[in-house]
Amino acid sequence: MDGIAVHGLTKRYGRVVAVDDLSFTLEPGRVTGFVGRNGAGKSTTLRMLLGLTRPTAGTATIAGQPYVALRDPLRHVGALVDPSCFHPGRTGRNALRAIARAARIGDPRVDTVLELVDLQEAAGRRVGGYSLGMRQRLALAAALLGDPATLVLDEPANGLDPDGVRWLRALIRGLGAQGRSVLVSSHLLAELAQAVDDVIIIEKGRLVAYAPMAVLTTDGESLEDAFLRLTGTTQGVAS
Amino acid sequence: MTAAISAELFKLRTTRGPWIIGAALAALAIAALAFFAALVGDPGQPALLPAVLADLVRSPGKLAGAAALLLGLLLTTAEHRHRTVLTTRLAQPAVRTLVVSKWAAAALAGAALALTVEMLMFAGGVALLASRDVAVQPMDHGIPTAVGAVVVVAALHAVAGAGIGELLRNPALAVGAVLGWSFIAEGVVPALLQDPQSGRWLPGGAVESALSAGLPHDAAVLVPAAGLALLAAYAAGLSLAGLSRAKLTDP
Repeated sequence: MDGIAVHGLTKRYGRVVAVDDLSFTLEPGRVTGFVGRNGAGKSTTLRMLLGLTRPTAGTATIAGQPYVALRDPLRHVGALVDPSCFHPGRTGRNALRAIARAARIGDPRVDTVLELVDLQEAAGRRVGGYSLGMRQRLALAAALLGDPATLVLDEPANGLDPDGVRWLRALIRGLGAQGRSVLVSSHLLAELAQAVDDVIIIEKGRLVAYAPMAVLTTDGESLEDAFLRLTGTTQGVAS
Repeated sequence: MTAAISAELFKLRTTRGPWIIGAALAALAIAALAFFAALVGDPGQPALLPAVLADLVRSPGKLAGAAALLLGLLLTTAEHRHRTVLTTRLAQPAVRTLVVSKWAAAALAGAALALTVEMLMFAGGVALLASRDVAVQPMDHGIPTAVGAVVVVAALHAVAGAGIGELLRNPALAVGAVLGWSFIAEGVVPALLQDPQSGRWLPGGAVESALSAGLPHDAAVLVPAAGLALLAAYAAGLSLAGLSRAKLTDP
């Protein structure tokens, strides 16, 4: 099982501290929600974990190695970082085939993941004509290409309609049930609460809480209430 | 590395840009061929001789180079423009391997583009000569050397284009920089240096001399081998600058 470990991870942009000495180790085979406000440092943390952003300090490893040191990384980690990272002139199938070729993954797997995300009928169309929800599904398909043991998903529900959100929840639960580790960031707390085993809460780049969902929401408290309580903010919460 | 090169070539052939560049180059070559065929042999125009075939295969050299440069630019700038660099880096996080595979893919695509237009010019030239009962001598008049020079020059242009694209990342900026250099700097630098001969050391001069392979040497340009080496040095310099930027900055 490929575990994720983050130790003292810090990212500064000039005087702005996006991520501040963040540390956590994910339990393998569990679905973990990564929660924080806009600008809390979720995406920056995930990008550092995936080798897309250089940390100012600290380490982020998967299976004991930085992402950039992994051999055949897509077979270890599947990642969704930006649904708009496809060439609009390329068809959905070819967008995935380009990624698969670089990762030495055969074309039959492309059709398998297209079916998994229910995009097989649109696979021959150019990505430029896709809705945001379809691009999100395509990005999820790209994450699943290598059949990885670990998935890192940054706001996967963005752009999905209610049916899509329900489908995504079932997909994430299914991935967890298969024994995969899933780290999923979202600000849709009510939705996230239905799909995750554990929750990491960050605020201003710092770790606020990391606990099983059941512990965070004792006494019938919702994840949203727990989040607002733990981050010291209660604006907009009816008494 | 092979997988990364294969992926880069696949990316090129699954978007319209490279095909449009190829089609435009082929259309220009055919138009030039038709224009030449209409004029050659007329009073006051050059006579149709076997050596004309060498002129024909040499003629699209600069154009093929420009098209290959554009192809190289597209290969790298499109990654940043459309954010595909994220999925590319996730699949191949080793930046050096990734950038070198882009150079290789650009060189192969540029060479293929040039070879295609060379075959077009050669076939057209052979048809023209045969139709006017002029001897076809495909291995004479420096024809193989000229074809080889055009193909190598195009491959180097494509590598330089990939380097410039990685360095500047913005397609409009990259094309603007290339046009600015070609049409302004290449003319201004020799004037500033007050040395008209200095132009032969610039990229344009290097191309000129490399494409003169198989022709009697012109003292105004470097010998073809030196021109080719100089062009390769420019391509290498631009590529290494692009690699440095890719290694130093996040996608």
